[in-house]
Amino acid sequence: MERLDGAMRARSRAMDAIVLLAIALLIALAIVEVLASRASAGGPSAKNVAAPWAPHIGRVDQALAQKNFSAAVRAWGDAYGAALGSRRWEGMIEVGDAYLRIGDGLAYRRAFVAKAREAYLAALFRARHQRSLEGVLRAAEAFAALGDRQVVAQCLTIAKDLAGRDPKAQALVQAQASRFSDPSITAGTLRIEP
Amino acid sequence: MNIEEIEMISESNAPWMSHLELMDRAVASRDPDGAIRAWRDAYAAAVGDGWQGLVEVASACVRIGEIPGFRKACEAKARQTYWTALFRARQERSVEGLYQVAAAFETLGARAMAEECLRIAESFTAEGSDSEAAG
Repeated sequence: MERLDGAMRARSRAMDAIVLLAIALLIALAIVEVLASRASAGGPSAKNVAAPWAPHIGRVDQALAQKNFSAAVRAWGDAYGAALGSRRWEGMIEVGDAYLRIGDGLAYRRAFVAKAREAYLAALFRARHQRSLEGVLRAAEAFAALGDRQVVAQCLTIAKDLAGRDPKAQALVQAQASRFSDPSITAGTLRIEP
Repeated sequence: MNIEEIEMISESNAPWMSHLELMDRAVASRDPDGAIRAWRDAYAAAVGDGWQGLVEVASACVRIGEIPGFRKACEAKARQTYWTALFRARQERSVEGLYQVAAAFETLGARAMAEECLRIAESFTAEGSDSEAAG
């Protein structure tokens, strides 16, 4: 009889544990769902976590619209720091582009090309390290816009390597290579597509 | 050519560029002595020029810092060279140069120095606006 009682108590404890576990699981699922819905709603906080440099780039452009170049450089410094810390290629591309826009605003683009190029190189290194075909092709676009054809060729070599045997990826690289080799495309006319 | 050699590609024919190309090759082959020697030659070629060469040479110095054990010393040297570029830009009253140096200081995390550059640039811009208004 005692053995039966003991077995029933043990079973009851096991049932309690299962019920508690199920409740915990339901709460965890509810939290995940709330977070996912916030992220898909694209609220500012979710967006900023995804691209911490983006708000600063926005400030660069606002400052440029007001011809406030000091504020633009300050905001650019913040964007650079955020992009550097994110360890992502996208940030370095955007920082490079923003730097060129500051140069354009000052009507002094040529002097600003060198640092933009450094940012694009950092983006290329990161993209290759992360095996991101998109990143390498975005870097290629950026170098093409600078008229840096030798580096574009190098980017395409890396892109071909990353595409491997994936026919879709190979087609994408081939399409970009054709665009870059088009003689009608001159430096500064290429634009990064959204 | 491998990716590490991309930094050596340059279409500029400024007198310091050939030295910087040598420097980048030395950095790629992890040769600190060769890199520092080439960097000094680049500095010597740029120092007689305007702020722009000094900014390029200072940025290049940061790249030597990719060699393990050299980062701190190279950032300090880059900072000194940006400082020289700041004086040169101020002397030339180049607002563009001051903005460039400010951004360069920002990349080193030297916000106070960047602010100093921006303050000088703003004062030049204000003076320019005043003289335009007076004219």
